[in-house]
Amino acid sequence: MTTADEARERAAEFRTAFARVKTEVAKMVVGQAPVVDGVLTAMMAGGHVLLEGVPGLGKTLLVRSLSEAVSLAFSRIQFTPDMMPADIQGTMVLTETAGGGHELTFQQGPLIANLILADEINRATPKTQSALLEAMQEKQVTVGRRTIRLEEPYCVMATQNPVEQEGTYPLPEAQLDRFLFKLVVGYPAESEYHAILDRTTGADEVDIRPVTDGDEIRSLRATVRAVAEPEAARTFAIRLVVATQPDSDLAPASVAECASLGSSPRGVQGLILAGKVQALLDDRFAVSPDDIRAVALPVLRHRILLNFRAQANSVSADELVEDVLKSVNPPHAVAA
Amino acid sequence: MAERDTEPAGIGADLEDIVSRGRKRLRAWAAKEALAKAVIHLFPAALVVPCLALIGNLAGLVGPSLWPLADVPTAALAVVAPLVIVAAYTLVIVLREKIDRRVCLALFDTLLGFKGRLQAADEFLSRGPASPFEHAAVEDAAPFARQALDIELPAVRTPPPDLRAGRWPLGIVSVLVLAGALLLGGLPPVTDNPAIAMADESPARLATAVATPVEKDAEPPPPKEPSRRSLDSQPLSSVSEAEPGGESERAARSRSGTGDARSSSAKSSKAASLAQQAGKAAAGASGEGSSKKQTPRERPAKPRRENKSRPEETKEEQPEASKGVSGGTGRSSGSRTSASDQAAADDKARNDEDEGDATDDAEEEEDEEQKAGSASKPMLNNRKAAVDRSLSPSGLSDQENDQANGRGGPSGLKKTRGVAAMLLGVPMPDHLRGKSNPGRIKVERERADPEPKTALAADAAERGSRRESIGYLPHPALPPWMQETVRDYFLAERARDLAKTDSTSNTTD
Repeated sequence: MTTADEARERAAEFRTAFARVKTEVAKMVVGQAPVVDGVLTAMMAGGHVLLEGVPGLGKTLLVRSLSEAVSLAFSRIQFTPDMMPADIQGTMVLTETAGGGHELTFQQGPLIANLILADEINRATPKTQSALLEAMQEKQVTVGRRTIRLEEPYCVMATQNPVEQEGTYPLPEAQLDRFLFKLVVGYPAESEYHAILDRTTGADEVDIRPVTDGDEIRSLRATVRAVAEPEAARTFAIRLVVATQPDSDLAPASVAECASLGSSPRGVQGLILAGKVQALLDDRFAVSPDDIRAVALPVLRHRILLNFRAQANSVSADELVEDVLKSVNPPHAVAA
Repeated sequence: MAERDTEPAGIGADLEDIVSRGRKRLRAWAAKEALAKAVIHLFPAALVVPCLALIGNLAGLVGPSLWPLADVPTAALAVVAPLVIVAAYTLVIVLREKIDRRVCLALFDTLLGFKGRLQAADEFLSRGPASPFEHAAVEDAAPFARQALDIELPAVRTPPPDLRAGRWPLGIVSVLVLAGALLLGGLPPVTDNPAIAMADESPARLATAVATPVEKDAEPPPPKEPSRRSLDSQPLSSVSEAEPGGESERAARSRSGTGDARSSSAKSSKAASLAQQAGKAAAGASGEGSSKKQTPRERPAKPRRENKSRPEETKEEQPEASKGVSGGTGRSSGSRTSASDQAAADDKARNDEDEGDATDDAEEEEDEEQKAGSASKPMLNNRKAAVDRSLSPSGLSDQENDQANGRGGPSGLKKTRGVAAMLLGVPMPDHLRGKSNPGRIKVERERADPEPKTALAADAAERGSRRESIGYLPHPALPPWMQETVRDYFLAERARDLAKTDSTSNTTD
């Protein structure tokens, strides 16, 4: 087998595994194909996902279905305002030994798993939210003098409700930046309501079986990272990220006016990794500027901090990303 | 299987062919784009030659004798020059355009929807594919490269020439300017007498022109040479009427547009002033009514000038005599145009001597007059005009004023000018709530003696009873603690009254 054949085989395996998981998830989740693709893409790229949508759209159901489709350690954390960091990281508890003595043992929290569903993450205080920072970036948890390495694959999928702002705490920028994708879950189409009723109000139970495991997901992640990166795609991703920064020369006028902060270098990493997944799904072996363009919105929308002018004029981050995509051309591109 | 590791057959050559095709395509496209940009400059460029021709004609650089020969090249140049400029502009842009190899491949990737396969394969081939996925990307691009060679690229839209509304009228203007330039340079002389028509030419040409026709047409007798005295005594109009072809010459000069028209008017004004001076000189000689200032200036000059110029003028012809008059006016005219200078140059040689004398005399007289004036008013020479103290805003014009001395009046741009300059030019809304400031209040007191006025007394019964509602009477709600206080107060008052009445009843009992 040649090197090219090896790459082809790995790419085929990736597409097959991706399709399998997607099919299983689709048994439970009706419609929402872009959101399902986004969640799977983020998981394959090794990133975390923030799902935003009004209540009842199946955000939690999607993540729960995914946890059932992949054979991974899954834990769900329902964030509440009175939750403390120790509640999710774990803490030292005094336990009684067999000899009648007492000792301090570490009781690990729900954060130590493979797939984490952080439900209503914005209801927790910033102190508790910050407990996720180390876990999401360094894939480890430090409690007291103990540091626990989290097992790969490690993926945090958080949900938040954009309408109920009473008693919520907006996610800090440092934590938002750690999410690879921010996916906006919308209402299903009219035709999809029939299927939703069939699956939720009927007598038949939907059975989701695990179709992949941690080892395969690790292998798929390695395949994603092996996809070739031409200079054109890399330059385009860098230009896009620089264009979101209001003080840069590439920034369009709307970004310069309405953004107070742009994307960090994590944005470039996210664009390239997610673009590689797109290239593999498109049966290609090198990421292209088109792939970068396809994933730019979910990667960049939560990395742009809007200023007061944008809020007063109801300018959204999505509009700014669209402006960036219009203003930045791929390198060597010819205007047709 | 071993050959699969190497470069796929023919993809390198295919990519080279694609690059060469893309270069041709992009170069042609750049040429079209450059042409579209250059066309914008076509109309401004079309103005260059007509303007130069017009300026040349007005400045007299192109003589009328060149008219039949000058118009054809000028018109041809006016047409060819903008085209040459546009072509050169296009050529420069095209030659400066450097078309990168990657741009050529990106063109095919974009137009044919290959999603960067050709660019990626070319990049990996140029540095040698290192990873399995780079090998796979190169192999993956091979069929797309062959497909790119087989497919004709779709037509690329080129931007239309930007012929904005402000540009194309320049073409019409250039045609008009060119026509004007050709007409001004090409009008033949109207007069029949070539000596008059060519009076403004160089002395050599003038000499030849005068010699030839006079010898041929010996029939009209030479005009009687007018004496200087008669010329000075009669007005200029009669002189010009007496000249054969005088009016026609003036008309021809005014039509020629080479500056003679302006000079003729200047000449006529100078001749008029000369006639005026001559009249005054004659009056001065007879000792009648001359002012103090004019008398010493003109009295000694005129007789001398007449005496000196008369013998020479008798040898000259009449038209030239009129010019000699205008040339000898000296300082009487304030502004002299270049055209009138040229006209006066013809007479300058003849009148050099007496003109110099007259000028010297006039200067001497002027100096004497100034000295006399300065003797009576010593500071008169250094005195400047009075400062204009008008309080018009000086910041309106940016020009410096020479008379500005910082004491008010017109001066250059000043940063502050008292309170008036510090007032805001833009009305600013008041940030404080309330009534806006009504501005300065002027109170005038008028003296008036109080006058008693009688008022009729109204009886209470005449007022009648009120039948309508009294309207809304506001009852401001007091805060609870104040209501309690008020209630306690009145309860205490009532208790005190009760106690007082009880005590009085007890005492009475």
